[in-house]
This record gives sequence, structure tokens and C-alpha cells, in this order.
Amino acid sequence: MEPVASSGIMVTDSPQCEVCVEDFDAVVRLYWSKVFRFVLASLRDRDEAECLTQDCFIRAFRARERFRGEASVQTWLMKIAVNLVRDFHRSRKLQFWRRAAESVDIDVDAAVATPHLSPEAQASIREQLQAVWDVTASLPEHQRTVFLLRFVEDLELLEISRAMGLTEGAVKKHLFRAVHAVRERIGRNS
Amino acid sequence: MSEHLSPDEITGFFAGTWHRPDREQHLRECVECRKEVSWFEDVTRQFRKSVTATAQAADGPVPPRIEVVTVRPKHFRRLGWVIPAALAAFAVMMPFYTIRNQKAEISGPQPAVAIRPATDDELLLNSVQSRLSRRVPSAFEPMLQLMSTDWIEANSQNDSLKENSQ
Repeated sequence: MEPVASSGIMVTDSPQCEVCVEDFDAVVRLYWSKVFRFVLASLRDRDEAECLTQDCFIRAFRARERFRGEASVQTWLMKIAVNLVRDFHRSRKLQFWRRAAESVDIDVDAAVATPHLSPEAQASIREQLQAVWDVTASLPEHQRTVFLLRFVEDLELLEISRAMGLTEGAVKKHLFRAVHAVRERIGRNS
Repeated sequence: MSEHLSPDEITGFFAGTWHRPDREQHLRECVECRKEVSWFEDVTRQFRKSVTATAQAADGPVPPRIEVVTVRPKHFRRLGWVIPAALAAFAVMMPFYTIRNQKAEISGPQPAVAIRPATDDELLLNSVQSRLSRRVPSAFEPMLQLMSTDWIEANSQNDSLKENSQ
């Protein structure tokens, strides 16, 4: 697999390849949007997502000496992000008075902006996407995280298990339940 | 051709829990099952696009530069309980502090009043003692210094004998 960045950094998506995180600016440039996307999809709160993404990179910066390159940089960052999201949900459970509505505008139009689709087909896809957004919000935390890491961040099952600190079997179990819930919601599991 | 894939088998295909060569063979051959699988792949791909677009709209295309020292008002909000707690602690401790001060004011000046008469009394007693212990009035003290000590002692003995005989 080819490196995805130059300028003093060798970052690849393969865990076997040597990774150097000395040029931390490059790491931020490469992975900021991915981490932010995952955190935003998990929390549905723009401000909190931005705050947690910053925290994620600050923690990564402080821990960069300890990064041995056993996993890819993306997996390493996702592990930090998963822990931050989990801590956030735990603290938010206690703060019942701060549970507010979603503070992000979900964009379902970008996915259907294809000229060859009929208006009916576009409406159907919009409806399906909204259903997927809704069902992922209602999933238990582990299932949602596994679903997002697999289908949004495109991580392999082994990488997900490393990022979440679970066995591969547990990841498969959570993913099965999440996919089942999504398919059931959009009417394909009956 | 074998039976079509069940919904659970299709779910298992996406979850990675599916390891049956005969079903994989069926999936390769069956147009209907392939269509079902590709339909869910399309849904997840569109979901990914939607999440990406949502994140880009929320964050902007350029990632902000990370500074290690950053001001994050959100975090300060988490410490919002400190000020009310400090005020409550102050309100609770204030009466104790006031009572303690009042007690200190009442008990404080007493030793100073007691010391002053004791010092005056001592001075008075000392002056009386020194006056009584004089052998002669103070006006004759220079003459007393001219006389020898033997003569003074002898005279004082004579005086005491006279007093006894009377």
C-alpha cells in the first residue's frame, strides 16, 4: 500500500508498515476530518465533536513517543477517539439535565445528488438515509461504534477490534446486531 | 441452484460471521441475492457520503491548526459547579468566623488590664521597702558614708541595749 502523505511522514493504512509521526501537522491534516466525522456521527453535536476531536489530537500529540507503529495511525487515533466518545457518553448519562437535541444539520442531499436518478428514486434514498441516521442514533454504544467504524471509516474487523479493545468475535457480534437493526428498519430483514 | 440467502445470512455476510463455501458459491451465481447484497452496499455507501457531507458542512474543509495550549470554554463549563460550591462553603463558614472573632475580642484585652496594677504595686512595694530599710534619713546619708562601719555597728548595739533597759 502506498504512503498517503509525504513531507517527513510515512503514514500508511497497513499496520505492518513503518509509521513515523514526527511531523504531527501532517497527521492532523490527514486525519482531522476522519476523526471529526466519526465523533460527529457518534455524538450528533457539532461543538462537542469539535472539542473531542481536539482532545483526541492533543492526547495523540502527548502520547506520540509511545506510538510503536503496531497499528496504523488511523487505528491509533480512532482508539483514542472511541475512548473519548465512551467517556463522554458515561459523563452525559449522569448529566440528565444536559441531554439536548441534536445540534447538527444532517445532510442527506449530498448522497442523492446524482443526475441520472429520478425524483422518486431520490426521495426513496433520502428516506432510507434518514432511517439509517435514526437507527444508528438509537443503537447501543458498542453497536453504533462498530457500525460507524466499519461502514463510514471503512476499517477492517481486526482494526476495529484493536480500536475498541474487543475481540474480533465480539466485534462481529456487535456488527451483526447493528446491521440487523439497520436492515430491519429499512424493511429488508423481513 | 440452492435456496436463496436468508436475511440473517445476508446480515452475517456484512458482519463477517459467514464462512460457508456453498453459500458463497450461491451468492456468486444468484443474481437476486447479489442484487440484495449490492443494495445494502449502496445504502452504506450513501450513508458514508451523507456523514462525510454533514461533517464537512459542520467543520469546513480545512482542519484547524492544533495548539497544545488552547482555550476551550466547553471545558470550563464543566467546572461551573466550583463557584457555587465556593459560595456555599463561604456562607456556611462565615457565622463560625464571626463568632470566633467576637470571642477573641471579648477575651483579648483582659490580661493587659491585669498586668498594669501588678507592676504599679511592685514599684510601690519596692519604694516602701527601700525607705524602711534605711538606717538614717536620706539627708544624713552623705555623713554616714564618712563614718567607719565599726563605729556605726557599735553605736547601733548601744542603742539597742538602751532600748532594752528602758
